[in-house]
Amino acid sequence: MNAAIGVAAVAAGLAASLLGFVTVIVGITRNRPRILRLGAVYAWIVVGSAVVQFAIMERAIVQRDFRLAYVQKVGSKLTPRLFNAAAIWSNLEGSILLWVLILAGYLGLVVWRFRTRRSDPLVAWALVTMFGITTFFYLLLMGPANPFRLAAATVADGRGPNPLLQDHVLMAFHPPLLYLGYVGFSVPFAFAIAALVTGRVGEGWLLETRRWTLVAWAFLTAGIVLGSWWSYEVIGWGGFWAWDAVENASFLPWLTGTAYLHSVLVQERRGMLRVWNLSLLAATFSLTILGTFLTRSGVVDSVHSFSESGIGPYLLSFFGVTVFVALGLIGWRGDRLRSPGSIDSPVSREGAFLANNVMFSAFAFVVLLGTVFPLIGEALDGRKRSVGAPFFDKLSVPIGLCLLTLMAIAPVLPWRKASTELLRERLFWPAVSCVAMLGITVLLGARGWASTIAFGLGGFAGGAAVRQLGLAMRRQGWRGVVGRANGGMVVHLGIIIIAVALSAARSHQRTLELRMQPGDNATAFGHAITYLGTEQIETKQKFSLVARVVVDGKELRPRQSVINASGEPIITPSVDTGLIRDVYLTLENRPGDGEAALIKVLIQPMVTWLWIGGALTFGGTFLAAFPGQKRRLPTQPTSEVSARGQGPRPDTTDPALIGADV
Amino acid sequence: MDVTPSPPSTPASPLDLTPRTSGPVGGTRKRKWLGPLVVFVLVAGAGVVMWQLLASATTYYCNADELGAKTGCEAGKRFRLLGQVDQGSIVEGAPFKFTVTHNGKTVPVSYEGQPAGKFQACVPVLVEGRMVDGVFMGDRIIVRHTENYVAKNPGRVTGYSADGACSVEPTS
Repeated sequence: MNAAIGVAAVAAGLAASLLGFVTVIVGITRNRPRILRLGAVYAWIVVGSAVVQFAIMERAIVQRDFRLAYVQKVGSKLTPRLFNAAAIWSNLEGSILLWVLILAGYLGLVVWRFRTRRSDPLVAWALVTMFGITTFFYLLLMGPANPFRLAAATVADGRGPNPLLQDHVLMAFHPPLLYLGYVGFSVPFAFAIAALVTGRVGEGWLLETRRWTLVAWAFLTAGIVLGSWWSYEVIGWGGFWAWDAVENASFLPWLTGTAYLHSVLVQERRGMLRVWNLSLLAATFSLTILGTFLTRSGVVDSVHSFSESGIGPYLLSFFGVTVFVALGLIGWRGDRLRSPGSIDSPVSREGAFLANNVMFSAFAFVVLLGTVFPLIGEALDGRKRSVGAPFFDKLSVPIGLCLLTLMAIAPVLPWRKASTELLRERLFWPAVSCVAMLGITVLLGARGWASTIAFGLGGFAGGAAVRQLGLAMRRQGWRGVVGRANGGMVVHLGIIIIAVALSAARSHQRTLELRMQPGDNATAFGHAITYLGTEQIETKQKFSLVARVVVDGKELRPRQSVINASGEPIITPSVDTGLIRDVYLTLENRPGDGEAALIKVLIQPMVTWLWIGGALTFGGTFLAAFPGQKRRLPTQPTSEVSARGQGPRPDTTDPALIGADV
Repeated sequence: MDVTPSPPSTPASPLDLTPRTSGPVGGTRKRKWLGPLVVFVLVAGAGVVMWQLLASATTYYCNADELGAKTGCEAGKRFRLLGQVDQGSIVEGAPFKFTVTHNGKTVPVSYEGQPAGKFQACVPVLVEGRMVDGVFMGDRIIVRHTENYVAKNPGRVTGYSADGACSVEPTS
């Protein structure tokens, strides 16, 4: 029953996607509004079938319907309710179901948001693009990633999800948030393609998609941060970022997306960087597909033990088509994409944004190179290899420091050109904050040149952001934190906090292994540690050997467990979280009665600030998505008249002082 | 006041309407070259640095039987040794010792620290480190998943099956 309904929903979704794709093209090329309206109907069928197929799979997993091969793979009667429900996205087919659900959701939102403008070619071609994307993903669900395939033989019970995916509540939130980000970039990408097809490559489509892009970026950021948090709390290695292929796959579109959010301001304001912006959006969307290919096809070794599947060639082909279409259209529209102006001075807002883009692109290139280098090498000489974290670390540190510097200087720069006096005046307090931060951290024992510089630059950039927010709030009250410029500063503060916390955690962590008999006392980095012994806990889900360790009077319980359904072992750390430092304990062996326990003690400074910075970034993005004091004038619905030829307005005012949407 | 127009560039046309270059021609040409040259030098420099970092951070995967036979698997170089942990070979202590075998070739491993929970006899492992005097000095162990491994015996958690028989066919 579940399989039949599921397959029917997938078939309906595929048919509606294909029909929608063709119908809207016919409607727009023949100028038939009635046919165009039909496109919306198909969109709602896609939404409906996506909801039905997801709900049916969830029902099958909750019912433990082991007739379905996928439920056999991820379901188990022994898995607790929450993790069982989240098991739907613990493997390939279910992840694609989630992807389609979110994609259909965005499609529905676009159709609803632009319901009065269905005959506008820009909207229509955006819909065509989105139908094209849904068609591809429905094809995956019909073929290589069919979640409703019946199993060859039924079983009494399944293995349940990967043990690491049934050990922390974040598994219920991290994948959906990440996918809301990944898939969210489909909307601006669709409008970019539409702008190219219609030739309306001016600034109109940017305004249409500004909020969509911000929302996608916010979710992608939240997804990445929650993924790090999950890794920290579950994997038991004490880290939060390992430059693993899966992590890089999420970080790449984040980098290009962030570059886009900045360079788009230059295009809106000065009409420049059109080709660049289109390329960045195309790159962001393509990288989400490439990332999915890298992580789901099994071509790159990853600590994330995703299963291998035959989905690789499909994703790679789709990636190729995306890049080909985007580049082809950009080339075709080359004559309309010429910039109407040029940068007057490198010491200007647009100059800083350009430098920012160079840095983000270089960062993305480094990460991409490190991620795919094993693949390229293996293709050349047949040898398997991996690129270690030192490659990424050594290159990301200087790039990160440059970006922090730009974060300090760019917000105080005016458009067009800045004078030395103006810079001196506006950078005074940020510089004071930089020196103060340097002094405090050195006094507190900061070590290593990179992290010390990062602390100083964090103070510098933080000072610039606080200065702008302070000026805006003095003038506008609480509205001083909303709007693009000011909300953007809240985001900057979040990112700066993350950067400083990263530096602290990476360069000042301390680790020690203690072999302790029950009743033993020890001191590790100033923390009194007493090992009380072990206790065994057996639940339906797992059998755990728990070490009872008292750290500074507080009991922590690191454990090693075996998941009953699969027999797979798992190490679960126990963390005493604090604002200044975390004490992170793992049980490294499985001591029998009277045997010594091997306990690893890891002191991680400021890790909590990573999550706080992530939350601030997420919230700040939404503040930036809403208009500030000056409500945006109703913009031209289309961009038929480009900004070309209009002389840019000279601007020497501090955006914070006028509280404008920059 | 001198209102004489500037002399035409060609005697045939009385009025020259072509745009003129403002500065000396040589200087403009010089500046035209400077930008791309700086960009080229920067990109080339970054490329060389990146290549060297990439080369130094790359570790090869070497099966136990490939030691010394393939490039990247020589003694002294850092690589990832792949093999199955031999039953009965685990000697707990500091350092932690065991042997791994692949295609009949056995390599002794010495590991600083205690391998994490999934490590036990008969599982395929990747050990990262260097070959020193015939012993592989590892500092990182990655245990590969064996999909066939099914054990419903919770008592297993209390000890290694170091001397037990390999009950499942390991996959490498």
